[in-house]
Amino acid sequence: MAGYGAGLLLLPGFAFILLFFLVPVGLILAQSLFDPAFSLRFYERIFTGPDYLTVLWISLKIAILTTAISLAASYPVAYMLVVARPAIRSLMLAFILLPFWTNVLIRCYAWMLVLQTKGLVNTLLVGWLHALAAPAPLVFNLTGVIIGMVHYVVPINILVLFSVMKAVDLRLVQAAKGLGANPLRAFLAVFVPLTLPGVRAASMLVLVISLGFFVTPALLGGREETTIAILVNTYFTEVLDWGFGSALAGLLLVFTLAGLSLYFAAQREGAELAAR
Amino acid sequence: MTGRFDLFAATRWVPWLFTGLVLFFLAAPLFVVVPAAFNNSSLLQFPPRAWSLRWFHQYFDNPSWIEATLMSVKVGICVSLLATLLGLASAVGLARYRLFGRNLLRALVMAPLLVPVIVIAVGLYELFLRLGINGSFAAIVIGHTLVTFPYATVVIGAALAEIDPRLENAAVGLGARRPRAFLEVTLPLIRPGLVVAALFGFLISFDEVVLAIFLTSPATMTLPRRLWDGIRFELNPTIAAVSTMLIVLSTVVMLLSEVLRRVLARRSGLPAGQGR
Repeated sequence: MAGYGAGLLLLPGFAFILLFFLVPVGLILAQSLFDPAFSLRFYERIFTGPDYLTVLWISLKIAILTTAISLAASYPVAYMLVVARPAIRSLMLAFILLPFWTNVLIRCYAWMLVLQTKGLVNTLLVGWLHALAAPAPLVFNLTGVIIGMVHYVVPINILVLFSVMKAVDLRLVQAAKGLGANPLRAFLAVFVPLTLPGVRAASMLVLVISLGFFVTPALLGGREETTIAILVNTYFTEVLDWGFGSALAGLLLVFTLAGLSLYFAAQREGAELAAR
Repeated sequence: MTGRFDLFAATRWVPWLFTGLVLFFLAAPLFVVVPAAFNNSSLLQFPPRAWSLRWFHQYFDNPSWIEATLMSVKVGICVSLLATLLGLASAVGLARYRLFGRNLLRALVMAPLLVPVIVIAVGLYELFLRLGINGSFAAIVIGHTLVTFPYATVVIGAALAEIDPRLENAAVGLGARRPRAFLEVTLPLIRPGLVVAALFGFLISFDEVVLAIFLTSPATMTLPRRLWDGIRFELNPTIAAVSTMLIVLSTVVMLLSEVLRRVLARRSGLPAGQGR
């Protein structure tokens, strides 16, 4: 009885998802596999030429570098959020949420102003400090993409890790100290292992986000930093080869789903560890 | 001698220094656009030699910027309403649904957030082109609703979980029909959740770039789409002026949502910052 009424309430949302999510994604997948008869020709093309393998490699490299640097930056900050006094914590959260709420285009534009040849950093290093003879190339290359991507994912990474660490019982760390471990050892031997499943889940999430991200590599990268997402855009809007573009989108989808299943597995493991 | 402990006491500032550097990295670049917006010259220079408001005048005098801003507001309002309604129906439906496949349905609602936006964008682009509605007002509203109503479902679902279902049942027991009991008992209690969902919906739509690149035409160009074109092809300080205004806006929205969160927490009888 109750289920019947609930079914009716669920209808509009799921009709919307069916029509505007499942159908379009299905359309893309079908288009990547039928030409017009079933064929894997588009996917073969991705994996046979060196050009597209390079693009896959660069996308993966950007995603992995971003994830690693983001974790290194986020983990200590998330920990400090846990141990900080409430007033300090609110202040820290303001610094984290401001970029989180700021349009990604503005964040990229800000980085252009900071990093370009006549930007803030180069003006500082070359003009004022005379540390460099000529401006360093900091943007429209891999450096620029990584800086922009890390800036994009760190707030997300910190917030996810913060929610993981909040669940850890800090008394265990106190107990380790009480038993004679020094603070560093108590942190490394007790706190860190307890957060590892959460770290794995958060990193998978960041990796998936980085892999499919389009705006930052497109604005802060150069020609060398062409990612799968950029290539999808190129094939749909410039080359107009929708079949091949669909195969690239399909591949991105497969990578994402693989990453997400690892994410959910890590999350479940974390929940089991916390329940123990 | 307690040299070892003194060493730890002496290095306690290291994690704080690291945290400070990460927070500086996150927030500081955003403010670099502010002096660029008030710089009189069209060339980028630090520090600016003369100040002016000309780039703000450029924004207000240029119909393409103003029209794009108004379009974003219009799209944002429609998306906010639509996403909140769909989210409300889905959240109530999911809370009451007791039949098979409940977890699958929950996962399906979240799915549009997990797939890379570029994949959804090309899928909808192709679907809308085939239907002959790409570039229309409806196209961008549908696209944005798809990526906002999952958030609305989660936020409203969380608000529903905070209230006691027996309140609505009591109203039914006292003779009210189920819809009236819902409208007069449950709905007022979850109002803060609805407001947060609507605000999120507006903000995400107002910020969204990738779908806008594919689904808008010159007639339906939104502000982020205009910014995207501006950053790629013009790169004059008008963009810094627009960015400055948007950073102010996101700061205001951030403070507003914090106030709302506290109201929500107080309604549910918990002190601020201690919600579930």
